[in-house]
Amino acid sequence: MSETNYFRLIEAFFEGNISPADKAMLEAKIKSDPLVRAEFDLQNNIVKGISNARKLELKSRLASIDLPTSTGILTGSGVKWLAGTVAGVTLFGSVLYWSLISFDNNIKPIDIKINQELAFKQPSLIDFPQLPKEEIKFEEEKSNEKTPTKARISKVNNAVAKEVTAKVQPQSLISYEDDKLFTNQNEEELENIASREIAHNRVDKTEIEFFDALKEENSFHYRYYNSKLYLYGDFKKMPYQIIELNDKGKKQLFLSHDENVYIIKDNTTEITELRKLQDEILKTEIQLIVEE
Amino acid sequence: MKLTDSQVIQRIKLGDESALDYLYKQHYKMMLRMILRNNGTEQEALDIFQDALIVFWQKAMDANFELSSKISTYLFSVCKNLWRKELERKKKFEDSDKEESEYNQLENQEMVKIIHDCINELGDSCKQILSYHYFDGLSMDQIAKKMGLANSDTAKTKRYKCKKRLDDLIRSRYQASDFLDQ
Repeated sequence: MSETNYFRLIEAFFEGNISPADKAMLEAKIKSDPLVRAEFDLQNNIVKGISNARKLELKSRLASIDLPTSTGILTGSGVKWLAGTVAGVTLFGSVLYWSLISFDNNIKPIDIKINQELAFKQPSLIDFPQLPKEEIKFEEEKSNEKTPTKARISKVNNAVAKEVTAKVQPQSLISYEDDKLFTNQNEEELENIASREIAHNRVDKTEIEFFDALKEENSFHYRYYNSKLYLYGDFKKMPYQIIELNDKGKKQLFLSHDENVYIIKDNTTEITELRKLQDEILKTEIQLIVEE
Repeated sequence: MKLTDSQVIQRIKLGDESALDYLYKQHYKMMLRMILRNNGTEQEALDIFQDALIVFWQKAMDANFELSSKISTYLFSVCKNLWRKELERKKKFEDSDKEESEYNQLENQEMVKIIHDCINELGDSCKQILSYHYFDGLSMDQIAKKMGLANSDTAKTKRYKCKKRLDDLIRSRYQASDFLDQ
Protein backbone atom coordinates (compact mmCIF):
# COMPACT_ATOMS: atom_id res chain seq x y z
CA MET A 1 0.00 0.00 0.00
CA SER A 2 1.33 3.45 -0.89
CA GLU A 3 1.87 6.20 1.65
CA THR A 4 -1.08 8.13 0.20
CA ASN A 5 -3.32 5.19 0.99
CA TYR A 6 -1.98 5.06 4.52
CA PHE A 7 -2.78 8.76 4.82
CA ARG A 8 -6.36 7.89 3.85
CA LEU A 9 -6.40 5.27 6.58
CA ILE A 10 -5.23 7.93 9.04
CA GLU A 11 -8.14 10.13 7.96
CA ALA A 12 -10.55 7.23 8.36
CA PHE A 13 -9.07 6.57 11.81
CA PHE A 14 -9.84 10.10 13.00
CA GLU A 15 -13.26 10.04 11.35
CA GLY A 16 -13.98 6.89 13.35
CA ASN A 17 -14.82 4.74 10.33
CA ILE A 18 -11.73 2.57 10.02
CA SER A 19 -12.20 -1.22 9.94
CA PRO A 20 -10.40 -3.34 12.58
CA ALA A 21 -8.21 -4.95 9.87
CA ASP A 22 -7.16 -1.56 8.45
CA LYS A 23 -6.55 -0.27 11.96
CA ALA A 24 -4.16 -3.12 12.70
CA MET A 25 -2.38 -2.51 9.42
CA LEU A 26 -2.07 1.20 10.14
CA GLU A 27 -0.73 0.58 13.64
CA ALA A 28 1.96 -1.69 12.27
CA LYS A 29 2.91 0.88 9.64
CA ILE A 30 3.10 3.69 12.20
CA LYS A 31 5.65 1.66 14.12
CA SER A 32 7.84 1.02 11.10
CA ASP A 33 7.47 4.14 8.91
CA PRO A 34 8.51 7.51 10.43
CA LEU A 35 6.72 9.51 7.72
CA VAL A 36 3.37 7.79 8.34
CA ARG A 37 3.94 8.20 12.04
CA ALA A 38 4.64 11.94 11.56
CA GLU A 39 1.42 12.33 9.57
CA PHE A 40 -0.52 10.43 12.23
CA ASP A 41 0.91 12.67 14.98
CA LEU A 42 0.14 15.78 12.95
CA GLN A 43 -3.49 14.74 12.41
CA ASN A 44 -3.76 13.77 16.05
CA ASN A 45 -2.54 17.22 17.06
CA ILE A 46 -4.93 18.91 14.64
CA VAL A 47 -7.94 17.05 16.06
CA LYS A 48 -6.73 17.84 19.58
CA GLY A 49 -6.29 21.48 18.53
CA ILE A 50 -9.86 21.65 17.23
CA SER A 51 -11.10 20.07 20.48
CA ASN A 52 -9.07 22.46 22.58
CA ALA A 53 -10.42 25.46 20.67
CA ARG A 54 -13.96 24.25 21.36
CA LYS A 55 -13.15 23.57 25.01
CA LEU A 56 -11.76 27.07 25.37
CA GLU A 57 -14.89 28.48 23.79
CA LEU A 58 -17.13 26.57 26.21
CA LYS A 59 -14.89 27.38 29.16
CA SER A 60 -14.85 31.09 28.44
CA ARG A 61 -18.63 30.96 28.18
CA LEU A 62 -18.82 29.39 31.65
CA ALA A 63 -16.14 31.68 33.09
CA SER A 64 -18.14 34.72 32.04
CA ILE A 65 -21.09 33.65 34.20
CA ASP A 66 -21.41 35.77 37.32
CA LEU A 67 -21.41 33.61 40.40
CA PRO A 68 -22.08 34.84 43.90
CA THR A 69 -18.90 35.21 45.97
CA SER A 70 -17.58 32.24 47.87
CA THR A 71 -18.90 33.59 51.16
CA GLY A 72 -22.26 32.19 50.25
CA ILE A 73 -20.95 28.72 49.61
CA LEU A 74 -21.52 27.34 53.02
CA THR A 75 -24.86 28.97 53.62
CA GLY A 76 -26.82 28.64 50.41
CA SER A 77 -28.45 25.65 48.88
CA GLY A 78 -29.07 24.66 45.31
CA VAL A 79 -32.47 23.23 45.95
CA LYS A 80 -34.66 25.33 48.08
CA TRP A 81 -37.35 22.80 48.87
CA LEU A 82 -34.69 20.37 49.79
CA ALA A 83 -33.00 23.02 51.86
CA GLY A 84 -36.22 23.34 53.78
CA THR A 85 -36.23 19.69 54.59
CA VAL A 86 -32.54 19.64 55.24
CA ALA A 87 -32.87 22.60 57.53
CA GLY A 88 -35.52 20.74 59.45
CA VAL A 89 -33.65 17.53 59.74
CA THR A 90 -30.32 19.20 60.39
CA LEU A 91 -31.94 21.36 62.97
CA PHE A 92 -33.32 18.29 64.61
CA GLY A 93 -29.96 16.61 64.60
CA SER A 94 -28.18 19.70 65.80
CA VAL A 95 -30.67 20.43 68.55
CA LEU A 96 -30.43 16.87 69.70
CA TYR A 97 -26.66 16.94 69.49
CA TRP A 98 -26.23 20.05 71.52
CA SER A 99 -28.89 18.97 73.96
CA LEU A 100 -27.33 15.59 74.52
CA ILE A 101 -23.86 16.92 75.12
CA SER A 102 -25.15 19.20 77.80
CA PHE A 103 -27.15 16.73 79.85
CA ASP A 104 -26.47 18.37 83.11
CA ASN A 105 -27.19 21.85 81.92
CA ASN A 106 -30.50 23.49 82.20
CA ILE A 107 -32.37 23.02 79.01
CA LYS A 108 -33.51 26.32 77.67
CA PRO A 109 -36.82 26.60 75.90
CA ILE A 110 -36.34 26.21 72.18
CA ASP A 111 -38.82 27.52 69.73
CA ILE A 112 -38.13 25.26 66.81
CA LYS A 113 -40.81 26.82 64.67
CA ILE A 114 -39.16 30.22 64.77
CA ASN A 115 -35.77 28.75 63.89
CA GLN A 116 -37.35 26.87 61.11
CA GLU A 117 -38.85 29.98 59.60
CA LEU A 118 -35.50 31.71 59.75
CA ALA A 119 -33.91 28.82 57.94
CA PHE A 120 -36.39 29.20 55.12
CA LYS A 121 -35.59 32.85 54.74
CA GLN A 122 -31.94 32.28 54.01
CA PRO A 123 -30.98 33.59 50.58
CA SER A 124 -30.73 31.03 47.85
CA LEU A 125 -28.98 31.05 44.49
CA ILE A 126 -32.06 30.24 42.51
CA ASP A 127 -35.68 30.94 43.26
CA PHE A 128 -37.70 27.92 44.17
CA PRO A 129 -41.28 27.44 45.24
CA GLN A 130 -42.06 28.32 48.85
CA LEU A 131 -42.68 25.28 50.95
CA PRO A 132 -45.21 24.80 53.68
CA LYS A 133 -43.45 25.25 57.00
CA GLU A 134 -42.06 22.10 58.41
CA GLU A 135 -42.80 21.05 61.92
CA ILE A 136 -40.48 19.09 64.04
CA LYS A 137 -41.87 18.04 67.36
CA PHE A 138 -40.12 16.56 70.29
CA GLU A 139 -42.55 14.48 72.24
CA GLU A 140 -42.75 15.37 75.85
CA GLU A 141 -42.14 12.56 78.25
CA LYS A 142 -43.93 12.32 81.51
CA SER A 143 -42.01 14.45 83.91
CA ASN A 144 -42.29 16.55 86.97
CA GLU A 145 -40.38 19.33 85.34
CA LYS A 146 -42.44 22.37 84.64
CA THR A 147 -40.17 24.03 82.15
CA PRO A 148 -41.91 24.99 78.92
CA THR A 149 -39.28 23.06 76.92
CA LYS A 150 -40.64 21.34 73.86
CA ALA A 151 -37.68 19.06 73.62
CA ARG A 152 -37.13 17.26 76.84
CA ILE A 153 -34.21 14.99 77.40
CA SER A 154 -33.91 12.71 80.36
CA LYS A 155 -30.62 12.02 82.06
CA VAL A 156 -29.32 8.55 81.41
CA ASN A 157 -28.47 6.50 84.43
CA ASN A 158 -29.30 2.94 83.48
CA ALA A 159 -27.36 0.79 81.07
CA VAL A 160 -30.17 0.80 78.55
CA ALA A 161 -32.32 3.80 79.14
CA LYS A 162 -34.59 5.75 76.90
CA GLU A 163 -32.85 9.03 76.15
CA VAL A 164 -35.17 10.97 73.96
CA THR A 165 -38.08 10.42 71.70
CA ALA A 166 -38.44 12.51 68.64
CA LYS A 167 -40.52 12.70 65.55
CA VAL A 168 -38.75 13.62 62.40
CA GLN A 169 -39.66 13.28 58.81
CA PRO A 170 -36.99 11.74 56.65
CA GLN A 171 -35.35 13.86 54.06
CA SER A 172 -36.38 12.91 50.55
CA LEU A 173 -34.34 13.01 47.40
CA ILE A 174 -35.63 13.74 43.94
CA SER A 175 -35.71 10.36 42.33
CA TYR A 176 -35.93 9.22 38.74
CA GLU A 177 -39.57 8.61 39.54
CA ASP A 178 -39.87 12.34 40.09
CA ASP A 179 -38.21 12.94 36.75
CA LYS A 180 -40.99 10.98 35.12
CA LEU A 181 -43.56 13.09 36.90
CA PHE A 182 -41.94 16.22 35.55
CA THR A 183 -42.05 15.01 31.98
CA ASN A 184 -44.43 16.83 29.68
CA GLN A 185 -45.21 19.45 32.28
CA ASN A 186 -44.82 23.10 31.61
CA GLU A 187 -42.55 25.10 33.83
CA GLU A 188 -45.27 26.64 35.97
CA GLU A 189 -46.67 23.25 36.76
CA LEU A 190 -43.30 21.90 37.81
CA GLU A 191 -43.27 23.97 40.94
CA ASN A 192 -46.66 22.71 42.06
CA ILE A 193 -45.73 19.13 41.47
CA ALA A 194 -42.53 19.48 43.42
CA SER A 195 -44.44 20.95 46.36
CA ARG A 196 -47.10 18.27 46.25
CA GLU A 197 -44.50 15.55 46.31
CA ILE A 198 -42.98 17.01 49.41
CA ALA A 199 -46.31 17.41 51.07
CA HIS A 200 -47.02 13.79 50.37
CA ASN A 201 -43.74 12.74 51.89
CA ARG A 202 -44.49 14.66 55.00
CA VAL A 203 -47.29 12.26 55.91
CA ASP A 204 -44.69 9.68 56.89
CA LYS A 205 -43.11 10.69 60.10
CA THR A 206 -40.57 8.57 61.77
CA GLU A 207 -40.48 8.47 65.51
CA ILE A 208 -37.05 7.89 66.95
CA GLU A 209 -36.00 6.56 70.31
CA PHE A 210 -32.44 6.40 71.55
CA PHE A 211 -30.80 3.84 73.75
CA ASP A 212 -27.29 3.28 74.98
CA ALA A 213 -24.90 1.21 72.89
CA LEU A 214 -25.37 -2.51 73.36
CA LYS A 215 -21.72 -3.49 73.25
CA GLU A 216 -18.66 -1.35 72.81
CA GLU A 217 -18.83 2.40 72.48
CA ASN A 218 -18.69 2.56 68.71
CA SER A 219 -21.34 -0.02 67.91
CA PHE A 220 -24.64 1.06 66.42
CA HIS A 221 -27.78 -1.04 66.36
CA TYR A 222 -31.38 -0.39 65.45
CA ARG A 223 -34.90 -1.66 65.20
CA TYR A 224 -37.42 -0.15 62.78
CA TYR A 225 -41.07 -1.00 62.43
CA ASN A 226 -44.40 0.83 62.41
CA SER A 227 -42.57 4.03 61.40
CA LYS A 228 -40.69 3.92 64.66
CA LEU A 229 -36.93 3.81 64.79
CA TYR A 230 -35.02 2.61 67.83
CA LEU A 231 -31.36 3.56 67.74
CA TYR A 232 -28.77 2.01 70.03
CA GLY A 233 -25.43 3.70 70.24
CA ASP A 234 -23.62 6.89 71.04
CA PHE A 235 -25.15 9.49 68.77
CA LYS A 236 -23.96 12.34 70.96
CA LYS A 237 -20.62 12.92 69.29
CA MET A 238 -21.85 13.91 65.87
CA PRO A 239 -25.19 15.14 64.51
CA TYR A 240 -26.99 12.63 62.35
CA GLN A 241 -29.63 12.78 59.65
CA ILE A 242 -32.35 10.46 58.50
CA ILE A 243 -32.82 10.40 54.75
CA GLU A 244 -35.61 8.83 52.81
CA LEU A 245 -34.89 7.86 49.25
CA ASN A 246 -37.79 7.36 46.91
CA ASP A 247 -36.88 5.34 43.90
CA LYS A 248 -39.35 3.77 41.50
CA GLY A 249 -42.09 3.66 44.11
CA LYS A 250 -39.87 2.09 46.74
CA LYS A 251 -38.91 3.96 49.84
CA GLN A 252 -35.70 3.34 51.67
CA LEU A 253 -34.47 4.97 54.84
CA PHE A 254 -30.86 5.79 55.47
CA LEU A 255 -29.07 7.13 58.48
CA SER A 256 -26.17 9.47 57.87
CA HIS A 257 -23.88 9.77 60.86
CA ASP A 258 -20.20 10.58 61.30
CA GLU A 259 -19.26 10.31 57.60
CA ASN A 260 -21.03 6.97 57.26
CA VAL A 261 -24.34 6.11 55.70
CA TYR A 262 -26.30 3.21 57.17
CA ILE A 263 -29.23 1.31 55.69
CA ILE A 264 -32.39 1.11 57.75
CA LYS A 265 -34.60 -1.75 56.68
CA ASP A 266 -38.30 -1.66 57.35
CA ASN A 267 -39.92 -4.27 59.62
CA THR A 268 -36.74 -4.92 61.55
CA THR A 269 -38.19 -5.99 64.88
CA GLU A 270 -35.04 -7.63 66.21
CA ILE A 271 -32.13 -5.46 67.38
CA THR A 272 -29.85 -5.44 64.36
CA GLU A 273 -26.45 -3.95 63.78
CA LEU A 274 -26.54 -0.91 61.49
CA ARG A 275 -25.00 -1.92 58.18
CA LYS A 276 -22.88 0.59 56.28
CA LEU A 277 -23.98 1.39 52.75
CA GLN A 278 -21.50 -0.16 50.32
CA ASP A 279 -22.78 1.38 47.09
CA GLU A 280 -20.28 4.23 46.72
CA ILE A 281 -22.34 6.17 44.16
CA LEU A 282 -25.47 6.05 46.29
CA LYS A 283 -23.43 6.94 49.36
CA THR A 284 -21.95 9.95 47.57
CA GLU A 285 -25.39 10.95 46.40
CA ILE A 286 -26.80 10.83 49.92
CA GLN A 287 -23.82 12.65 51.36
CA LEU A 288 -24.16 15.33 48.71
CA ILE A 289 -27.75 15.90 49.74
CA VAL A 290 -26.73 15.96 53.39
CA GLU A 291 -24.00 18.48 52.61
CA GLU A 292 -26.34 20.63 50.57
CA MET B 1 -36.53 27.67 36.59
CA LYS B 2 -35.83 24.12 37.67
CA LEU B 3 -34.86 21.51 35.13
CA THR B 4 -34.86 17.78 35.68
CA ASP B 5 -31.81 15.72 34.77
CA SER B 6 -33.55 14.32 31.70
CA GLN B 7 -34.49 17.81 30.53
CA VAL B 8 -30.88 18.95 30.89
CA ILE B 9 -29.62 16.00 28.85
CA GLN B 10 -32.27 16.58 26.21
CA ARG B 11 -31.07 20.16 25.84
CA ILE B 12 -27.43 19.13 25.63
CA LYS B 13 -28.25 16.61 22.92
CA LEU B 14 -29.79 19.47 20.95
CA GLY B 15 -26.53 21.40 21.38
CA ASP B 16 -28.12 23.96 23.70
CA GLU B 17 -25.15 25.44 25.55
CA SER B 18 -27.39 27.19 28.07
CA ALA B 19 -27.85 23.76 29.67
CA LEU B 20 -24.19 23.97 30.67
CA ASP B 21 -24.74 27.41 32.19
CA TYR B 22 -27.63 25.95 34.20
CA LEU B 23 -25.52 23.06 35.55
CA TYR B 24 -22.68 25.44 36.35
CA LYS B 25 -24.87 27.72 38.44
CA GLN B 26 -26.71 24.82 40.01
CA HIS B 27 -23.75 22.79 41.27
CA TYR B 28 -20.70 25.02 41.57
CA LYS B 29 -20.99 25.37 45.32
CA MET B 30 -20.81 21.65 45.86
CA MET B 31 -17.72 21.27 43.68
CA LEU B 32 -16.08 24.34 45.18
CA ARG B 33 -16.51 22.95 48.66
CA MET B 34 -14.99 19.63 47.66
CA ILE B 35 -11.89 21.20 46.08
CA LEU B 36 -11.42 23.86 48.74
CA ARG B 37 -11.43 21.09 51.32
CA ASN B 38 -8.77 19.28 49.36
CA ASN B 39 -6.11 21.99 49.23
CA GLY B 40 -7.43 23.75 46.13
CA THR B 41 -8.06 27.41 45.50
CA GLU B 42 -11.35 28.91 44.39
CA GLN B 43 -9.98 29.55 40.89
CA GLU B 44 -8.69 25.98 40.61
CA ALA B 45 -12.05 24.71 41.75
CA LEU B 46 -13.95 26.67 39.13
CA ASP B 47 -11.46 25.62 36.48
CA ILE B 48 -11.84 21.95 37.36
CA PHE B 49 -15.62 22.23 37.47
CA GLN B 50 -15.66 23.87 34.04
CA ASP B 51 -13.54 20.99 32.70
CA ALA B 52 -15.87 18.48 34.34
CA LEU B 53 -18.87 20.13 32.68
CA ILE B 54 -17.16 19.95 29.31
CA VAL B 55 -16.45 16.24 29.86
CA PHE B 56 -20.12 15.78 30.71
CA TRP B 57 -21.18 17.78 27.65
CA GLN B 58 -19.18 15.50 25.38
CA LYS B 59 -20.47 12.34 27.07
CA ALA B 60 -24.07 13.49 26.98
CA MET B 61 -23.76 14.25 23.28
CA ASP B 62 -22.98 10.61 22.59
CA ALA B 63 -26.03 8.82 21.21
CA ASN B 64 -25.29 5.79 23.42
CA PHE B 65 -24.99 7.83 26.58
CA GLU B 66 -27.09 6.60 29.49
CA LEU B 67 -27.05 8.36 32.82
CA SER B 68 -26.76 5.78 35.59
CA SER B 69 -26.82 8.27 38.45
CA LYS B 70 -27.92 11.83 39.07
CA ILE B 71 -26.04 14.47 37.08
CA SER B 72 -24.75 15.99 40.33
CA THR B 73 -23.25 12.64 41.37
CA TYR B 74 -21.68 12.21 37.96
CA LEU B 75 -20.20 15.70 37.98
CA PHE B 76 -18.93 15.25 41.50
CA SER B 77 -17.11 12.05 40.52
CA VAL B 78 -15.58 13.68 37.43
CA CYS B 79 -14.44 16.68 39.49
CA LYS B 80 -12.92 14.40 42.08
CA ASN B 81 -10.98 12.49 39.44
CA LEU B 82 -9.85 15.62 37.62
CA TRP B 83 -8.70 17.18 40.87
CA ARG B 84 -6.85 14.01 41.87
CA LYS B 85 -5.08 14.04 38.49
CA GLU B 86 -4.26 17.71 38.88
CA LEU B 87 -2.73 17.10 42.30
CA GLU B 88 -0.71 14.22 40.87
CA ARG B 89 0.42 16.44 38.00
CA LYS B 90 1.49 19.15 40.40
CA LYS B 91 3.42 16.69 42.52
CA LYS B 92 5.06 15.13 39.47
CA PHE B 93 6.10 18.55 38.24
CA GLU B 94 7.64 19.35 41.61
CA ASP B 95 9.52 16.05 41.67
CA SER B 96 10.69 16.05 38.05
CA ASP B 97 13.56 17.89 36.46
CA LYS B 98 11.92 21.24 35.86
CA GLU B 99 14.38 22.37 33.20
CA GLU B 100 13.88 19.29 31.06
CA SER B 101 10.14 19.42 31.52
CA GLU B 102 10.03 23.09 30.54
CA TYR B 103 12.13 22.39 27.44
CA ASN B 104 9.79 19.61 26.27
CA GLN B 105 6.80 21.78 27.01
CA LEU B 106 8.18 24.64 24.94
CA GLU B 107 8.79 22.42 21.96
CA ASN B 108 5.32 20.95 22.14
CA GLN B 109 3.85 24.37 22.73
CA GLU B 110 5.33 25.59 19.48
CA MET B 111 3.45 22.99 17.44
CA VAL B 112 0.28 23.55 19.46
CA LYS B 113 0.58 27.27 18.88
CA ILE B 114 0.86 26.88 15.10
CA ILE B 115 -2.21 24.64 15.02
CA HIS B 116 -4.07 27.02 17.30
CA ASP B 117 -3.20 30.03 15.12
CA CYS B 118 -4.26 28.23 11.95
CA ILE B 119 -7.61 27.24 13.50
CA ASN B 120 -8.17 30.86 14.41
CA GLU B 121 -7.45 31.91 10.85
CA LEU B 122 -10.35 29.83 9.60
CA GLY B 123 -13.67 31.57 9.28
CA ASP B 124 -16.25 31.16 12.05
CA SER B 125 -18.38 28.73 10.07
CA CYS B 126 -15.35 26.50 9.38
CA LYS B 127 -14.35 26.56 13.05
CA GLN B 128 -17.92 25.72 14.03
CA ILE B 129 -18.35 22.82 11.66
CA LEU B 130 -15.01 21.27 12.65
CA SER B 131 -15.78 21.70 16.35
CA TYR B 132 -19.24 20.20 16.02
CA HIS B 133 -17.81 17.27 14.09
CA TYR B 134 -14.59 16.49 15.98
CA PHE B 135 -15.45 17.63 19.50
CA ASP B 136 -19.22 17.54 19.94
CA GLY B 137 -19.53 14.47 17.74
CA LEU B 138 -22.66 15.75 16.01
CA SER B 139 -23.87 13.91 12.93
CA MET B 140 -23.81 15.69 9.56
CA ASP B 141 -27.59 15.91 9.72
CA GLN B 142 -27.45 17.59 13.16
CA ILE B 143 -24.72 19.94 11.96
CA ALA B 144 -26.78 20.88 8.89
CA LYS B 145 -29.78 21.72 11.10
CA LYS B 146 -27.72 23.60 13.68
CA MET B 147 -25.89 25.67 11.08
CA GLY B 148 -28.82 26.19 8.76
CA LEU B 149 -27.24 24.27 5.86
CA ALA B 150 -29.36 22.71 3.12
CA ASN B 151 -28.77 19.08 4.07
CA SER B 152 -26.25 16.59 5.45
CA ASP B 153 -24.41 16.37 2.10
CA THR B 154 -23.81 20.11 2.13
CA ALA B 155 -22.49 19.80 5.68
CA LYS B 156 -20.26 16.91 4.67
CA THR B 157 -18.75 18.84 1.74
CA LYS B 158 -18.21 21.92 3.88
CA ARG B 159 -16.58 19.86 6.62
CA TYR B 160 -14.21 18.29 4.08
CA LYS B 161 -13.25 21.65 2.55
CA CYS B 162 -12.68 23.24 5.95
CA LYS B 163 -10.51 20.39 7.17
CA LYS B 164 -8.47 20.46 3.97
CA ARG B 165 -7.97 24.21 4.31
CA LEU B 166 -6.79 23.78 7.87
CA ASP B 167 -4.40 20.97 6.91
CA ASP B 168 -2.95 23.06 4.09
CA LEU B 169 -2.50 26.08 6.34
CA ILE B 170 -0.66 24.04 8.95
CA ARG B 171 1.47 22.25 6.38
CA SER B 172 2.48 25.55 4.82
CA ARG B 173 3.99 26.55 8.17
CA TYR B 174 5.34 23.28 9.32
CA GLN B 175 6.80 20.59 7.06
CA ALA B 176 6.31 16.96 8.01
CA SER B 177 10.08 16.65 8.47
CA ASP B 178 9.88 19.19 11.26
CA PHE B 179 7.65 16.85 13.17
CA LEU B 180 9.91 13.89 12.67
CA ASP B 181 12.32 15.04 15.37
CA GLN B 182 9.61 15.19 18.01
